[in-house]
Amino acid sequence: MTKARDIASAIPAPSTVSSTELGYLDGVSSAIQTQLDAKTAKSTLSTTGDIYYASSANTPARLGIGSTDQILKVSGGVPVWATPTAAASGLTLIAEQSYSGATTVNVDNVFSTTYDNYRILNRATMGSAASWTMKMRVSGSDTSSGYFNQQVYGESGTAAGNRNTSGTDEWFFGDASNSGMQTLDLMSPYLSAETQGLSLAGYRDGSAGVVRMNSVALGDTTSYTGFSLLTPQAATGKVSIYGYAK
Amino acid sequence: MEYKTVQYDGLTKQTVERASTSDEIKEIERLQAQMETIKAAKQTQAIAKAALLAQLGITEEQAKLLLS
Repeated sequence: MTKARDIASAIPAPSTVSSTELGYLDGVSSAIQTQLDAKTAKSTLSTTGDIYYASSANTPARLGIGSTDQILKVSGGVPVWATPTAAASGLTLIAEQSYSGATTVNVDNVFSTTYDNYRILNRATMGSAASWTMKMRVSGSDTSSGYFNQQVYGESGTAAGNRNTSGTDEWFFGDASNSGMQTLDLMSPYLSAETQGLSLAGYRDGSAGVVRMNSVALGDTTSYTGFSLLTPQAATGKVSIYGYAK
Repeated sequence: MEYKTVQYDGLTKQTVERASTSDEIKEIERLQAQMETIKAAKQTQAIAKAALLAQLGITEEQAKLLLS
């Protein structure tokens, strides 16, 4: 009789321990406490999102969840949460927003110290041809004066002309109709310097192709954190904001 | 026409879709009026251009050729 189960069957069980309980020892081949000590405690993971890792050999440890958008990196040979730094070169997508049937698209808190310059891409369709205008925003409010704009455009095979505005309520950003796209390089919206930019816009209106080029500037040095796009026609599309690596 | 505003916040990464405020509608209506003015000016210009071409007795293509 070498097994606990056999012992449990063979001898009368003490009044405080049942033979079933003794049977639980079946298969035990070394000290139970030693085996328990070798296991990790479930309670190590005390919070939602916790991750198990070894802080040194045979030493389990808890890594609490990081913040939104943080990534897992290695520091000193162990995992840590870290905020991604701006790419050393090229463009980094900051935000992307789709809209459907909208006449106003407000984008807040996308300009910051992380980047000096930005690229904004907008693609939309509308029921009929209409212009987009753009305003800069700070603390969730539009700035409605001091915009300078020079536009040259061509349509239906003709260099159609130009339009100039000074100190007006907004910038002209481009058009859309059956389809339309605008790309804007925006310089220093958050820096204490005048915000400047250059946009290219194109769209199809029936069988006509149209191209527009705009230089834009704002006559102040406010640190803008966002922008708004406005159109008199309900538009459906997507706007993407990228930052240029410094 | 229904006026809709889509609002994105880069800090919270949240988007809110809502009916436009009266101030936002005012802005859109101002842009609508501006667009109508530009359209009307274009139309007036096209009519004047056609009248001038008729007066000169030449086609638009011939006028383009003269100016090239």
